[in-house]
Amino acid sequence: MKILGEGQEIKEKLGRGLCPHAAKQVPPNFSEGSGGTEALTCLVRVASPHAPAVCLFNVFFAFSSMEYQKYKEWLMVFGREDMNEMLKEIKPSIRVNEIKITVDRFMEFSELKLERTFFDNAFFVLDEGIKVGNTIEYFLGYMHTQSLSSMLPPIILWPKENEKVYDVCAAPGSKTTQMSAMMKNKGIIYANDVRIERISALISNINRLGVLNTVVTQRNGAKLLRPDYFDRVLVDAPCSNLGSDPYAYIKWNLKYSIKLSYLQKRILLFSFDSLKPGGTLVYSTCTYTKEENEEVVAYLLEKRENAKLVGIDIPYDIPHENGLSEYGNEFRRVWRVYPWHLKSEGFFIAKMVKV
Amino acid sequence: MAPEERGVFHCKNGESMNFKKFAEEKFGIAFPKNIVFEEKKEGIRAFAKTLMPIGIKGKRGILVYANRPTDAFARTFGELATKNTVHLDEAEAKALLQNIKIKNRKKLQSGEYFITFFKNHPIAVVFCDGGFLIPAKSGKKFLPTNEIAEK
Repeated sequence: MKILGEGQEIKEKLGRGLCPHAAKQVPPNFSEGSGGTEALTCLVRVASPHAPAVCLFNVFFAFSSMEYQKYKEWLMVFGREDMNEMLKEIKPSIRVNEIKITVDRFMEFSELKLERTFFDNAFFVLDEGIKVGNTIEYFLGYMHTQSLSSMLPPIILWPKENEKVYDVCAAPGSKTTQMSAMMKNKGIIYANDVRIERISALISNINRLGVLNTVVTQRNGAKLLRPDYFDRVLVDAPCSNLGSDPYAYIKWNLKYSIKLSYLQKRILLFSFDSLKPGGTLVYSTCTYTKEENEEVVAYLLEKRENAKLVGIDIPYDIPHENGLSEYGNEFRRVWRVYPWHLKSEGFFIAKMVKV
Repeated sequence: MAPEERGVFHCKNGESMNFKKFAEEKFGIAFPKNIVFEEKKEGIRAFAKTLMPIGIKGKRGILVYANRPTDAFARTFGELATKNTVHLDEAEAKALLQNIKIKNRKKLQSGEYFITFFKNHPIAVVFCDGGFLIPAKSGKKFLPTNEIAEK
């Protein structure tokens, strides 16, 4: 399977008629390697072949459309081109904070219209026009707004009471606080993030949700914290957000993913080194590109002989796709969760152990 | 000093007071044994005892006191309070959550802190200043009195 990125492949796909609308928009001599001016010149011709002095407004939209079509075509490699349209229609979901309240007691207290999900403590919010963040339940720390698929990495990591857990890219703290609840506010969680503006959101959520077993640190995740120390490590790496932000495609391009991939590899490598032998690491992103997902995991497996990719085994029957096998058959063990699986964000999740 | 005794703040008259003792005596809160307190620049933090041996710089647990008891304190430990509690109706609770002061309908004692409840759920700490109950995030800072210590 190839990812769209080379101009030739885009043309091939368009030529096969996968997306007739895109074929109309993209000029035949367009290529990914074309400079901006060249592409614009082509587009001027497309937008208005008989009037060279076409207005810049039209050029702008033709150009945007081309980028968008390229993105949609690229999405089809992984599944469906309407994935970011689906993201716009996703229902908001909440997680009941079991540190403070039981699910039963929450249901008695809350006046929100809720719909059950795969997870016992997570619900879709059916009320329209209500800002969940302005409700009493939210202020009191009884619930946290969190997408259903972003609850998966902590569930897959499954931290236990009294373990030492490292959440490398923790802010704004959805997964940290979820893990704290799973650990019944015992043990130790190192919640780390590098950016101070994100840390303030993390601290605010920790205060609101009554998390007592967490120490918040501000460090570069791409540096070693403590070698062979943690029982479990969660790396929810910074990514291009194509699975969570319906407008992320606007700034996305392959170079951006490759740049992020470099950072993700460093973070994953050092995070793995902080894991004690026998420990478990979960790597996740909310994006689809293989450069930020399978390739990063493959890099770790190549660099660390004691890293082993293992199957994901959780007590829920979660629909998902397997990882891209072009990196090896073992990548069938990783999960790709797309928006239609859980009516939630897209996620990539891989579980590894240190042998 | 035992770890749980470390959180000390200054009272109205400048004397220092232990937060755990303050909360126990003012609100009748019996803290779980695994909770410890620590004095930091921003105030007093409460966290699980498991975090004690950590030698890494960072913010541990939640902020329970910052010039006055915080809402995070009320919302985390408020259910354990047996004294200085007041139950509010929905309109009052919503006003407090928007940091609006509310009338002292129940004629509570002025100069005291109270933990407020809505439908038996702790929602905030208020300071009773004459005819009004003032929420923590109103921007006004009221240092607690040390009258308990004097007793």
